[in-house]
Formats: sequence, C-alpha cells, structure tokens
Amino acid sequence: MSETKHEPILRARDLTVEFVLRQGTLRAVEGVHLDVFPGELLAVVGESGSGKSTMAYGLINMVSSPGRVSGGQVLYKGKDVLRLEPEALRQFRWKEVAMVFQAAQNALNPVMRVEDQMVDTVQDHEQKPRAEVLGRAAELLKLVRLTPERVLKAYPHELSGGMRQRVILALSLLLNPRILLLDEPTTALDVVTQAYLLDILLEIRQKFGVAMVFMTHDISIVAKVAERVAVMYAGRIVESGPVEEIFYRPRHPYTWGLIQAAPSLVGDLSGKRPVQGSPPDLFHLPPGCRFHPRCAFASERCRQAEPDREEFSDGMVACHHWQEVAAVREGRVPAPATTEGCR
Amino acid sequence: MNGPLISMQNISICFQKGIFRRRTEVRAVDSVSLDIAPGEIVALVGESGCGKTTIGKALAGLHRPTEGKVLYQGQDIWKLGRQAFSEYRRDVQLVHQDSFAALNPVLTIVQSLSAPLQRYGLVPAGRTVRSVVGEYLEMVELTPADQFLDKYPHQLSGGQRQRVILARALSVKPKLIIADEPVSMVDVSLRLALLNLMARMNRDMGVAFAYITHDLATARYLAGKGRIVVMYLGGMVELGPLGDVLERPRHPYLQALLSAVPVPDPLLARARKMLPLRSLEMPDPTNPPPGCRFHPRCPYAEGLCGETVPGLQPEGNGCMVACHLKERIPLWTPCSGVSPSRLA
Repeated sequence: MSETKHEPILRARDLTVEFVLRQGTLRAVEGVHLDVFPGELLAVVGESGSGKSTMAYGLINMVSSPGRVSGGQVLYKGKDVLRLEPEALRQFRWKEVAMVFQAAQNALNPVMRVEDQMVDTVQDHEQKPRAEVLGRAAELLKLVRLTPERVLKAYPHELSGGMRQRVILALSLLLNPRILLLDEPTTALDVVTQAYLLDILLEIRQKFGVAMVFMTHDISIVAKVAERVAVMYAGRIVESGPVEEIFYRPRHPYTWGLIQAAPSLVGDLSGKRPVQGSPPDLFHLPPGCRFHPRCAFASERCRQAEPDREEFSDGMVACHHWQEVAAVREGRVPAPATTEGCR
Repeated sequence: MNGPLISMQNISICFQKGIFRRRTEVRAVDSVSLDIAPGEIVALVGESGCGKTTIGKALAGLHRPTEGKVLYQGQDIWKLGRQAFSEYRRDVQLVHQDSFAALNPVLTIVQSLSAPLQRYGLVPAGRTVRSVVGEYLEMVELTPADQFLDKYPHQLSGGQRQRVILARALSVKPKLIIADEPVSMVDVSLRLALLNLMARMNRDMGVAFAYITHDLATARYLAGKGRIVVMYLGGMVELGPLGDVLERPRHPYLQALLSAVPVPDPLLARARKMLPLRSLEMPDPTNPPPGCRFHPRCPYAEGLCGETVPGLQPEGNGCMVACHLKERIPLWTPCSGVSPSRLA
C-alpha cells in the first residue's frame, strides 16, 4: 500500500556482508532486501547474532575489516552508497543518514565539552558560524528534554548514561539527516527512561519528518512506535510488514514464536510459550531453512531448500509453510504436535 | 516449620566511596525488612541503583549488613558457627546475570559441577559423579547430557550456560535460590524456557526463589502466584501479592514504572499513557533527596514528602505501601477505556 504512496529513499537489494575469519567465512547478513520510506519508523527485530547491527553498518557502507560487503546494492536517492567516493561517502554519512550506535553513551569524546563536539560535528560537514550551531544544538537538546545551558558546558562524565544517550540523539540530528539508524538505542536504559526516549523519538519523527530504522532485540518495544517491522533471523529477513500484521497476523513461525514468547503485563499468560532450541551458529548453518531445527512446521522441504521471498502488497515472508501457519493461527487447523509439546 | 525460611530485619547496607578525605558513604539499602517463606517465590523489582542486587547478596551472606540482621531459619547468619554457616551457604544459592563469568572457562561442565557435589558429599555410594552430574543436566533439559558434560563454557549458548548454572545451584539441594537477573542476558526467544524451568524447580522440588529483576513482565510471568517487592533508591516502596499489587498499584513510582513497561500489542501500546514524572533523572544515590526519595520526581509530591521518610503501611489485603499521600493518589490506569482485547 505504502509503496504506491511514495518511493523508498533507501533501498537495499541482496545486501550480503561477510566476515573472513580464521575459522572460515561467516555470512552475518545474507541477501537482505530492505526499503526505508521517507519519514517512517521501521523496526528491525532480531536476537543477538541475527545480523541487525551488521546490516545497519552495511547500509552506510561502514563495515570494517575483517568484514566486507560482498554483494548487493544500497541505493540512496538512486545512488549506490557502496560505490560512493570517500568524500561523497563522508558527506552522505551524518548529513543524509546518521547513526546512533549501541552503547552510544560511550560514544562521546570524554575530554571535550558537549558544545565543542556539537560544533566540530557540524563544521566537519559545512561552514556555519559557531553561534548558529549552538543555537540549533540548544533547540535539539530541549527537544530531548535536556537543559541546554547546563549540558552544553558539561563534559560527558558529568552526565548520566541516559542523558548522554539523549545528547548523542541531539548530535545525530544536528545536520538534519533524512534517515536515522538507531541500534538498540534503549537497551542500556531503565524502563522509565526508555519509555520517555520512545516518546521523544516519536516527537522528533513528527517534527522533522526523519525516517528511523530502529534495531532492537525486544519485540515488545516496537509495538508502540513502529509503523513497519522487519524480523531478522540468522542473517536473513524472514518477514516484514505493517506492525499490526506482524503482531496480530504473523506469517513466519519465528515471528509468531517471538510474540508468544514475550511476557506481558496485560492479558492472559497461558498462551505464552518459549521458542524451542537455540539460534544457530553462523559457521554451521543448518541446511535449507535456517529456522527449521526450531520450527514446529518444519517438513522435508524445509530441511532441503531455503524458502524464497514471498512478496505481498504490504510485506514479505520467507517460509515454505506460511499458509499453514496462518491456518493454525486462525484456528482452522490444529497446531502441529510439536508446538503444543514444546517447552 | 512455620516460620520464614529467611528473614531480613531492618537491614541497611552502606558502602564507602572514594578515598581519604573525599570519602563518602553510600546507603545502598536503607532499613529493609522482608521474610521469605519456604517454597515461596518473591520478585524483587526495581531499576538500576535501587539496591535489589545488594539485597540479594545480603540474603546470600555475601554482604554483611551495616545495620540489622539476616535470620536464616531463625538464626542470625553472622553469628553461626562454621558448620552451620556452611550449611546455610549450601541451602541458599545465588544465580547471577552473567553465566559466562560464573563458570570457570578452563573447566569442562562436568568438572565445574562435580566440585560442589563432592564438597558436600552428595554422590550416593555406588554411583559416579559423572552420572549424578548428567542427571542434573537432564533435569534442566540439557539432553542428552552426554553432549554437554565435556563441553567448555564457551561452547554453549547463553541460555544453555544459564541452565548449567541452575543445575549447579540445584545439585546441592538448596532451599532458596536467589536469581539475580537470570534471563536478562539471554536471547528473548529463550527467556521463557528458563523461567518455566525455574517455575518447575519451585513446583516440583519446593525450592523458594528470590527473583531479582528490572523487568516487571517476567516477574509477573514467574511470580504470578507469589509476592512482589518494588524498590526505589534503596528502599521498599510497595509489596504484596503480585496479582493485587500489579492490578492496583498505589505508589506513584510503581504506577510510573508500570505505565512505562512496553506491551507487545500495538493497539494497546499506543493507547497507554505514561504517568508524567517531574524529572527524568534518577537522583544520585550517594546524595539521596531528604524525605521520600521519590518526591523530586513525583507528580503528586507535597511539603511533607520532602521532609519525612514515609514508612511502609499495611493496606489490609496483605499489601504494604510507603507513601504519605496514598489515600489521595488516584489509581493510575495506563489505558483507561481500552480493554486488552487482542491478548485476552
């Protein structure tokens, strides 16, 4: 639906990122298709090792050795980011696409005042007088619920983790990027601070129309803020779609499993059950569908052939049995024996 | 035995911070009293810096309280003789958040798990240690045990290592397991399985649990029929049967915390509103505010709140709340008018 409304501003096709290590070559991200539409909030959900951070690095062509982007394209406004000249790439990063890294609290320079880091960041990209930069910085700091007079003069150690996180967020918005990549932005935060940060993100998105790609391991967090969700498993996107579809009508057994495994404060807990097994070792991926050893729907076909992407008007799924998953979810057919018995 | 298994009586724990003249005292736990009955599950919930881990360590005999007593089966643990103290240490086991740090990296699983069995003479005559260890591994669903016995910790996943730790705790037949954030470093898809395992250990073997966590949703899952203790900056703010407390939270801090917990349901999550706090920042624990420690952030705070520390007052239904204004504070419903239709 949204695809007819407007064109994606960032488009990854078949993005593959490899790490060449002593033990062999590891594909952390494989054949990822991802579209980011202007001003949307797209959540990428995946457990540790699913490749979500690596994918984000791939999107801004920032995979460092021993990793490398070994295939695919990343198109930003029609240009391939993976082929940009160093200077163009430098301008692209932060000005067009900014990233808030995991543990961003520690990303500030400890021996520089916040104001100097703000000015440095801007002047590295464009000629702007200091006063103008600080004016904009103050405005952004207010937006993230910080007191500019105090924070601008402060050194990072004088601020709490949650405050530093918000300083980084303000810093990432200084150049008015069109896309903000947020890698686990709330993970180190307390529950209350996390909830406020999510509200702040929604406000920023509304105010600046910046698209956000929000990477997290916790599917519960994205329910409130995301418009679309992509679910990653062992380096691949297994399902994507509008947030309501993902939560209420998941097509992939892994997505469904994650939702059933998320403890909640509301509602009945009797339907909650864990996903059986453990995520695979990327050096020894199972043949066929990567999820099949943990999947109640797995058949011979899943053990042999990796499922193709099945596209819909509003999303995709990569599962041989998504129709059966839907039938079981809707109660049209009984669940496969192993889903009931799984621990 | 009708008395509590373990009882904390008015304990305070202080730490020294800094050196020489700049030395200051941090009161990590301030006058906390709590009983845990045999076979009970108590969830200790709070955000970072609330003192929940310090309480866990005090229960396990790793921190000696600066004030107050910890009684185990009626005896002050710091006055026990060597033999009795050793028995208490065996009865009360601690499971940490970081399963990797809790296992010796150069020992195999069977080596790590043999030591406590031999130390306490828990290998029955005619059986090998290996077979006993194997039995415990099967109990925590690491099956077949043969595949795990000779592995090193780094060869296991986080969830598997945490199971090994639970097996080790279980192997000395404890009466109480203090589980400090046992699932927060484990992949989301595996958390529920570990919680189920702990629930089963409680049900089948009668092991009591002190479940220490920042995550109210997992606390509700594990301790649904047990009790909850909510902490803020070193003190208890509310406690009682978990279902009652979560249904009718009285303390404004708990109301804020509950309204901030993410809910895995888009319609419901969007309808929920945060209780607006006056400040986002947690006060510095080395310099806590006077009076009620929550008052600088509390939207309802009045003059009295900044002056006197509110004590825990019984509510009648087994709940206790530490708030001067509890009679006047409205019940905060995060999403009034919206029923959890999808999840119910």
